[in-house]
Amino acid sequence: MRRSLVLFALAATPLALTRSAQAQGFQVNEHGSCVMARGGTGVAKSCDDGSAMFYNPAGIVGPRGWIISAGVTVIDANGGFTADLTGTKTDLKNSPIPVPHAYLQYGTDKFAVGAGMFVPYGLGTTWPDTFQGKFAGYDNNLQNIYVQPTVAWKPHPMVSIGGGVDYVIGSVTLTQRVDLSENPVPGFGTVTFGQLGVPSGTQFADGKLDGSGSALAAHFGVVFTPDERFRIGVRYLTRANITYDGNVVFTPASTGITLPAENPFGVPAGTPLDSVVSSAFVSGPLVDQTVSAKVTMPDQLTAGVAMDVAPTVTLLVDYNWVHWALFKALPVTFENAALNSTTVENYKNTWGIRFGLDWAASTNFTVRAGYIYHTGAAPAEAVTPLLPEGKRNEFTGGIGYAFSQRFRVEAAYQYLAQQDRRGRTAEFPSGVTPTTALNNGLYEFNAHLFGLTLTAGF
Amino acid sequence: MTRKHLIFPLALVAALAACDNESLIPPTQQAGLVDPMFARYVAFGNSITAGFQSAGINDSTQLQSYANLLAEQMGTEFNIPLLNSPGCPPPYANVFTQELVGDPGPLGCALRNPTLPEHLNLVAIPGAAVLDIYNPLGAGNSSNPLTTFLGGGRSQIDNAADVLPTFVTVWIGNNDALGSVLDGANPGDPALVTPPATFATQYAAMMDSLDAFGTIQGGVLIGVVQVGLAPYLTQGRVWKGVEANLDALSAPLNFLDVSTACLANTPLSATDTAWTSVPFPVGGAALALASARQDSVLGGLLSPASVVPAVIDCADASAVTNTEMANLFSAVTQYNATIEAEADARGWIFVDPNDLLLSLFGTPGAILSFPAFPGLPNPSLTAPFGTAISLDGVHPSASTHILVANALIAAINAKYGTSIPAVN
Repeated sequence: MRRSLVLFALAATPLALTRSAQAQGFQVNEHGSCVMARGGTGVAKSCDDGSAMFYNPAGIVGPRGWIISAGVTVIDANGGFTADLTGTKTDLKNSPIPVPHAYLQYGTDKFAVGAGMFVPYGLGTTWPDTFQGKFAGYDNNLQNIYVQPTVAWKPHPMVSIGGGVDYVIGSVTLTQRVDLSENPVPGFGTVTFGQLGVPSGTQFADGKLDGSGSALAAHFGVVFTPDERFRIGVRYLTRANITYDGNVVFTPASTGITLPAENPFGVPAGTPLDSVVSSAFVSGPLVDQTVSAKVTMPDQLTAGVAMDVAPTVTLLVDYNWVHWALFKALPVTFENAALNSTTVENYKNTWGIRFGLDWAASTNFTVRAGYIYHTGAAPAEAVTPLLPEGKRNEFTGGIGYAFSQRFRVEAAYQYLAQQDRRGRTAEFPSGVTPTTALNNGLYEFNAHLFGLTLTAGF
Repeated sequence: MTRKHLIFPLALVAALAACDNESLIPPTQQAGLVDPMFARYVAFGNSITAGFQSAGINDSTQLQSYANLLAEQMGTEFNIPLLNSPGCPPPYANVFTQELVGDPGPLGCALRNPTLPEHLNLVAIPGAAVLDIYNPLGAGNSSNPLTTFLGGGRSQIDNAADVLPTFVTVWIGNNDALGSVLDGANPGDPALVTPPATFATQYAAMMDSLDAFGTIQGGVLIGVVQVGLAPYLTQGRVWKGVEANLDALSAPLNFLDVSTACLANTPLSATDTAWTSVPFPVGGAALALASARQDSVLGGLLSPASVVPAVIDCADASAVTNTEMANLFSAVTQYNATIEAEADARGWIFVDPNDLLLSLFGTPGAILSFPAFPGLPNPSLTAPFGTAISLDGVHPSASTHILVANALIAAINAKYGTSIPAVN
């Protein structure tokens, strides 16, 4: 069973890792409905809702007194995979997922302190368990909670600096089927079930990985205000090393094959193949065991400008860069050391550009809009059911309404349109540098995001 | 913001918004594909289609299958469940000694190539009868080790479902009659011939399964070979001639007796006759025994007075009697009427392989009426049954697969107006 377990681990772990650090893919970048509505532009000019702790820690200095804010972004993802061969399309089965955020800060004219909680990597992919890519993963969920104590200082009227320490609490659940054809026949050395005729893509086990880990990262930012109408901001999030420790639990999944007469397994005609392989769950590699993987999440840099082009209108532009080229390979360690393996990813650095418009239509009513473009981290040879990501165009809009000087509500909508991307549904063996040779269809992905944030100041 | 200020970001947005979607690469875009109809070709069948030759099969003989040749000419992807060399089982290197082309190992099978195709286009299984196409577990099935080694224990229909074929060829039914011929206990046993009515029911069920795909744009149904004409069987009258020749050469000694029952025959028409016939293993064993005794006499190891002739007795169960042969002819004729009707009902092509195979009888050396045994005039170890037949006397040779492929190509081009090039 070596190969399948290795594939399981290799397939599973990159999901956790890429979701934990990337600026594309399934990352949630919406941690405040105000910034979300204006295309995610927040590094040069923050919204006064504490979300600057995520978008630029230097941005929390300014508002005086206490600010407490909480909200949620609901992500309704849609997509599917269409097979080249038959044209058959399989749709994602994702349910809308709520992703919360909350902030508390206190500030004076020159200082501010606060703490933020956000879930930048909380999405999932759920495919039908009949999907041909089920061996790479069909029900995957990730929740990475970031808790970030933050301080900021304004040493000069034109300069603010800030920073924070992120304590990351990560958890991941990944589920995939195990392909019997790739597994060795007990007692026959390296001979696989496939060499006895079991077809490629014959499931016989369901593997579920639950893992968790934690890590520390640092977050720095600066805002330069050379003119009352013009701001420049830069933030930098350091790379972080996370060790995900967990367990793999295997349960039988029916092969659906009833053996005919004179089969090479030496069992009578009519015997379910399931009964031939059932011992694998009692002894051997398919017993429950621990697994871990150490991963370096890449550092990222965001820089942007904000300009008040009119007394009530601000235009914002951000540029974001993620050092994804760090993610070249992934070693995975199993309790059964014979299963240890490494997968090759060869990700590319990514960048994105964001445009935002903020218009204070009245003293208590604000209208916002934005546009985002991101490149994809996964090269053409690494687009899989776990992370079928690609370039993205995103369009945003929203409104803010102040009920009083103390209470405000922000609402936002975002439409995410991802590039249709060719990819594969099967994994390469351990250690093999992937190519596009296994790409066998087209992934489509889009999402509707709805944000709502309530803020109180006192 | 001035108009000039707005131009740059708006232009950039417009440029980025043109997201470069990638696209499907459906099989209709295969380079060299002759016609979109052939985008997903699946070949159903039995040993002939699977590439079985000389009582064995391996990755060389599989590639020589007419189905693979046809797919190559169509320019379509064609995945075969390749079996490692020397085979599973390995083909004969010498049918007379039963030496194989290699040692398959303790399992008697060198197993499948470990690199598995994601799906199969060649789903044929040696030994399969009509029933096995859709139900290899059904009562009276013909399942064998290759049902699992090649098809994973699944039916041919189930394996084809992974592909959703756009074009099919189906050559099935030979084993519904051949199984009787190859029976060791009573060759030609009518009880082992699928009754034509049952055949028709099963064939219709198979076609219903094909229709259920809903994707097939065209196909070829290939008829059943008159298995009684396979050179594996030698007519008793030919053996009588051999007996006479041996008697003339060795008189007054008698090394071989062929019973008069071997001359029995039943006229079927003005041109066709059902002759009692002797299976190769029966005749070969008798001839080998006669030859050995002759050698012993010539070597002084055996007294001429104590010579006992080897016997071929067509009156016992070791031969296919003229009555059994007539039954086989009748059954196959009815099978083919069923197959042709099913093809006509769908507007598909019906090809009668007997037209092609009978023409080979007229080609010198293609099909021998008597095996070219060692020790007899013009012996042959490489083509003892003729160049058109492999070393088992039943399955076509590689050269015949080419003829079959070209016959199908001609029929397909004529029916569908395509331009599949012929195999050279």
